[in-house]
Amino acid sequence: MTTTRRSSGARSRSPVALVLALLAACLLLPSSAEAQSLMNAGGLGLLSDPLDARSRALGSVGIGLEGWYMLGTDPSAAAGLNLPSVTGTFQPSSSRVDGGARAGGTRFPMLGVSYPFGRHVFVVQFGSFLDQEWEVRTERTLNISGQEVDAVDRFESVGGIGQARLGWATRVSEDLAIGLNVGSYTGAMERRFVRQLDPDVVGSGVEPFLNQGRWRASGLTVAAGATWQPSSVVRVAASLEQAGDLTLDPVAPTPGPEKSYPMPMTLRAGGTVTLASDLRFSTGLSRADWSGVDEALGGDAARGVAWGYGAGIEWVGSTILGRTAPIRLGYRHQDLPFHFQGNPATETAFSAGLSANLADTETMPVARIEYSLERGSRDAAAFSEEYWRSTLSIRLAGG
Amino acid sequence: MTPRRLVPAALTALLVMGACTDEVPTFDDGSAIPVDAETVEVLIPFSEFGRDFQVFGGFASQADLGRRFVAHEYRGDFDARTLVQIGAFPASISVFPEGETTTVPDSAYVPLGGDLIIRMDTTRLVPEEAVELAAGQMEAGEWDVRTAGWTLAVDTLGGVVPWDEPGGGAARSLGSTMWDPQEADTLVIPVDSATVNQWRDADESVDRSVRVESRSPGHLLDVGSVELRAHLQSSVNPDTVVTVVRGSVGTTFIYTPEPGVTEGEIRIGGAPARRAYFRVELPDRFEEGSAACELLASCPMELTRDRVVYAGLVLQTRPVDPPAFAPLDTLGLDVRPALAADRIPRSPLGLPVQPAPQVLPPGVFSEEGSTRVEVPMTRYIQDLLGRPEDDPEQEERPSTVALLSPAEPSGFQFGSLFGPGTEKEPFLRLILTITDGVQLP
Repeated sequence: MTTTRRSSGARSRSPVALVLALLAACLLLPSSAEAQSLMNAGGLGLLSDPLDARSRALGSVGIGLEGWYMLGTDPSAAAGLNLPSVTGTFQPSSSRVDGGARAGGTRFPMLGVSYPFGRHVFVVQFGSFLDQEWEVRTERTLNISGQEVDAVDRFESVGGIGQARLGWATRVSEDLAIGLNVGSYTGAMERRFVRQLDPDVVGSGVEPFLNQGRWRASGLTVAAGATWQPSSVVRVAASLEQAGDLTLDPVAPTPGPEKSYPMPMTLRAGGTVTLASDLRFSTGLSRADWSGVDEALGGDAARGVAWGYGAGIEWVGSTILGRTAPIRLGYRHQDLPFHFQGNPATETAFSAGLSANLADTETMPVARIEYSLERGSRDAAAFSEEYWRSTLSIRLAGG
Repeated sequence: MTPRRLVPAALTALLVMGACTDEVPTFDDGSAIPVDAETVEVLIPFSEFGRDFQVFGGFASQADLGRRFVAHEYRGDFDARTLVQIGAFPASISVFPEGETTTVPDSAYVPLGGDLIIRMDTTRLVPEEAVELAAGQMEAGEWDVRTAGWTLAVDTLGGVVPWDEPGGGAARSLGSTMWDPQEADTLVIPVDSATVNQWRDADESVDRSVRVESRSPGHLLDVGSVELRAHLQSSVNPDTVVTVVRGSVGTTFIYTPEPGVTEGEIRIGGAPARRAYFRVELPDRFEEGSAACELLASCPMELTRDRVVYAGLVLQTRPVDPPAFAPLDTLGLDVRPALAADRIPRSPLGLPVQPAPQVLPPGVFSEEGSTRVEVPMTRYIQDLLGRPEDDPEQEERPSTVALLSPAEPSGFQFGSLFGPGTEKEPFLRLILTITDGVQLP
């Protein structure tokens, strides 16, 4: 027994270092937390669900997966985390517009810490919500008092909006768990317009025109959910997330009043069925009504109801170097809330993933790394972009 | 590290490295920019931004120039003469007494005569034909190298002394010679023994003054140096003659006529140099009916720092009068803030407001017309309109500026520009970009 413990500790050292490196990267490379899609330019940005690699691999909408885990979209899923744990997700991706520009970057869509206390589990999470990183750069010729002047216009949108949540979950019985989290929008939106005139025409010493604004995000969210396991082969879960207005307050010296955007109520439901001892099928559905924000954006800028659904299978029979290494496949469809160039947009992706236990005790894994790779597309009428998105999650638990 | 940990570690490292490359999603479609921006040009006449225009002269003097000129009826009636004070003679010379091998000082030497050596500077001014130059011993008892002019020997506060006759006073001729620049750049004018004796005995250098002038009309000549080569006979050993060279200890040049400033003229340069000062008082907004509003789509309009992307002071050159003062070389033009407006014209000046030196070729001051000169001063105008957002504590910029030559004096020639109240008065050219601001979606 003692030997096993010592061995566990030694095994944990390497993944701990990995996670620390990952967290350090989160802190040291905040500017890297950028988006990857031209569709970031639509409305308030591109919806970026705070999902981990396992959810991505299974095409999940973020609810109803087998086991216990931390996801802001599934408040009750943390109820079974008997050991304090931390989880972090790291997501590099790249996209390419049909015959056009490439974009790429890295996000950190989810970081979480859970702590059990008696039958209760408390959770702190930081997750992504809307990505707003995009830019327009165009050359044009201006007519200034009859003289043609070359100019370069650049518009930059920087930043993103995330969510910070405090959660609580508990198992009210062997087959029923409930959970609740409250959160707040975080982050800021920065927009900048720059026009540079040709100094050869205007005169040396011409300065770039710069107009910019910065708005800080705030607003409350509440989510509640339940997980029910009616039998050993079926698990179902549902959650309801009610968000208040997303308020963007100008940060001095940005002029103007604050502006509020009604956020939708989001319903998520999903479940997992164990098809064989080492094979599971999971699926999920989400519904959010964005018509309120459409009105705030002036109309014809957002969908009414946005649906998301997906499904995947997980084979847990595979091993790597003697350790369990589940293999996952999935598919997901998500209606994007904001129109792009006046057209409704959707995102679809096929995904695959792999997981490995890096260290474990005799009864449960204490260090797990999960990886997923998605090949998807985002479409809005004639516009289409394809993307690759990889997601890496690490979860550590210990007492 | 065991193989089972090596794989995920390597994977993580690759992903972290991959995270270092970001490509922001970028459109090239200008219609996607959610900002309506308009860029316009606005011309503000001097009367709407310039106040307290003044021209001052007397900055430095001809003596500071380092160059001396002679001219006779150059481009009209321009005359210039070079004045030189010869250095003192040695108290003694060292000679060998007859039959001895060691020298002894000889303070009772006897000047036998000498030569005035005039070296002409031909790097910039070379006459196309031989010219006659003359030298004379100045008889004025008092003159000041730093302040002497054509009519005044001394022109200091409380001590004005005129020449007994204009042009350096009376002078006793030492002789003249023809100078052919094709043959040599040095002229030699013999000086008799009586003059050299007189100079040896003079206590003050002013009593060893020489005036050099040209007698050939139509030429402007650059005098490089003037020195005396004196031949001194020893009183100890009369067979010994020692030659000593005495250079100038003070030199300047004087000229006539004195160019007067025309009403509404901006003059820069010259020796002594002139400067123009005025205060910049920008309007807070362009009102209906103002000249600036004629070029704007909508008025009134606020004039704010962030809207100004370019500002240039536009000037028009004018022919220099008298033409002899027209620059023969490029002339620099600086616009510099006066750091203490209440001490103008003695106010210290700040750094030039234009990003690069403004150089005016000599041709722009010819009689063939007027040339537009634009001095960029964007940052300065922006600073007058408000402090930058990223430096709200920035010190307030002085609003009075001086127009001047970067080096004073750079020559006796000057540049002339149309000033306020003239047909081609200065104006401020602004390029403004106007938007309704960056908005939220």
